[in-house]
Amino acid sequence: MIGASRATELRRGALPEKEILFSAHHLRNKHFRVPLDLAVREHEILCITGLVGSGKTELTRVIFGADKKIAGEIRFAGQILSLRQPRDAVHLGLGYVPEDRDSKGLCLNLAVRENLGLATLVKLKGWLFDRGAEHKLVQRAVSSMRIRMRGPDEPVKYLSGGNKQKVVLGKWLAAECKLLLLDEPTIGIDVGARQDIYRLIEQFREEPEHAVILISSDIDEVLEIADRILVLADYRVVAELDPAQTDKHQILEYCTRRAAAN
Amino acid sequence: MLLILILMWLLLSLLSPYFFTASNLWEITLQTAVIGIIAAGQTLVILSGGIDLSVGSVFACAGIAGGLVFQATGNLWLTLAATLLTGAALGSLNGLFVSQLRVPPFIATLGMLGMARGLALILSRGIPIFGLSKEYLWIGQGKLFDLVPIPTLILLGVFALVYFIARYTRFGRFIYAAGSNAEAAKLSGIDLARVLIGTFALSGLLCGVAAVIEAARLATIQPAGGNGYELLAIGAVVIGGTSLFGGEGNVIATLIGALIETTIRNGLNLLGVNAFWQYVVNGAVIIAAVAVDQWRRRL
Repeated sequence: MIGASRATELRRGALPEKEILFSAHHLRNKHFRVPLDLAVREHEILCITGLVGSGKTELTRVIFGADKKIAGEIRFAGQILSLRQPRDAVHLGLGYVPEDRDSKGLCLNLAVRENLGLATLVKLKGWLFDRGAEHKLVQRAVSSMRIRMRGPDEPVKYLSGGNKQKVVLGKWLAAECKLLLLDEPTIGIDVGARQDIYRLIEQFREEPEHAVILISSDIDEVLEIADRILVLADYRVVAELDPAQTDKHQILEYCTRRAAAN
Repeated sequence: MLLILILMWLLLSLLSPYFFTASNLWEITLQTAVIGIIAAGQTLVILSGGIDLSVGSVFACAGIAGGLVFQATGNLWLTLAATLLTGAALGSLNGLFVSQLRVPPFIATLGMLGMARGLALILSRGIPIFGLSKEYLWIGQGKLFDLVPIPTLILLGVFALVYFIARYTRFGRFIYAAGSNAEAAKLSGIDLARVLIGTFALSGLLCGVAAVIEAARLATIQPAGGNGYELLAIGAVVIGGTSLFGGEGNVIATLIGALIETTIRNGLNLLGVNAFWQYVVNGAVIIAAVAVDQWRRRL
């Protein structure tokens, strides 16, 4: 359900070769027994796909610091990052939209404004928090993302799935993160909200020093939106593909193939 | 809940000519001070998704620690500092048990309940402390302009501070987030350990403040003091309307809850009702308050 007009908006082929913005070398933990490497270029949307249980969610979690890693080096804009906890990742400019927005992405009984401002608040310093600044942040987010709700004080649990997801995404956009990790961001979301979210992700990646890692098990979505595709199987990267030169059948085949020794 | 409090006051003023007098009303605020201050700290702990069962024992231990310092130095400021710091330290330990050892708050503070009580008894050798100075006693028995009891002022000051923390600081916002969904809070970058240690430490500190007031009012520090205060404190929070699951509620409501509890005690006393009925009524009000709150959520 992705419109043809969107495909022309993608500047995929026209992206200049950029230096690697973010990379993970020899990542190892209790899930990833075989060291894993990953790199993302500036302005790139890297899509990671694979079957259930292939390790997609675990990969973003270990990058974000939500799961411990035993070994491996993570670099952002050339600097080695010490990422042991999600709060390290947040302060260093990463953002994470989890697969289950209700149980991991939102504080359901808190208001839309409180959820939207949460990551921004984390990155601020000092004791006080500025309600006026929060108000402006919320206004901007609601209008630019087209979040539909009764008001910024409405508890977020009353919003529809698509609008809830916009709140989660909005939280990271407002916090000015640079690398967005999204895990199945459009699952359970209506077509209109999906389009909005794609648009937002594409706007995001065009900013300087920004990039996106997007996990999706929807191969059509992956083919439409990705600049580059990584296929995972059994917690290993089994293929790296150019969306312009592959197709659904080939991707599926990689997904289901047992990881051969690379 | 404010409505309930007002209704109770109206009812009691009809039932007894002594209730709605200035001196009795000030007396109510005075009697609310100790439990109210403990309950203020408990509110933040409960909002963050935890609970603190050790408040009664920490209260006693902090009081005894301060009392021993007083016996050794005779210095009021050192005594106050010792009381507050002991409370904060014990509270921080609770926070450490929960955040680092990952012991659930119920269990951690249940253990601290025993440990702090034992420590109070050990340090005092089971003997109450007497002989506090006049300056100290002024804190509990003095009045501003001969009218406003000092404990009442301290009570209002504490609630103003805790309200400010909950509503106007980043820490307060993190408390609500942690109580609403700890995992989402963590994944948003919140340092849960700091929030937990902070709320428990503050709860302990406020137990120390309460201990100072009680010592000043009674002119004695009892190692067995504070028994059952945790139930009254948690009761005040719950009657006020804060959810025991965390993430929902407010600080001022706890003040109302504490006033309701004191009003029950005060009212039943004035009506000459057997003192033991106070327990029954207090317990019934807690159940009724939560039931009403549950029903209100469904509307």
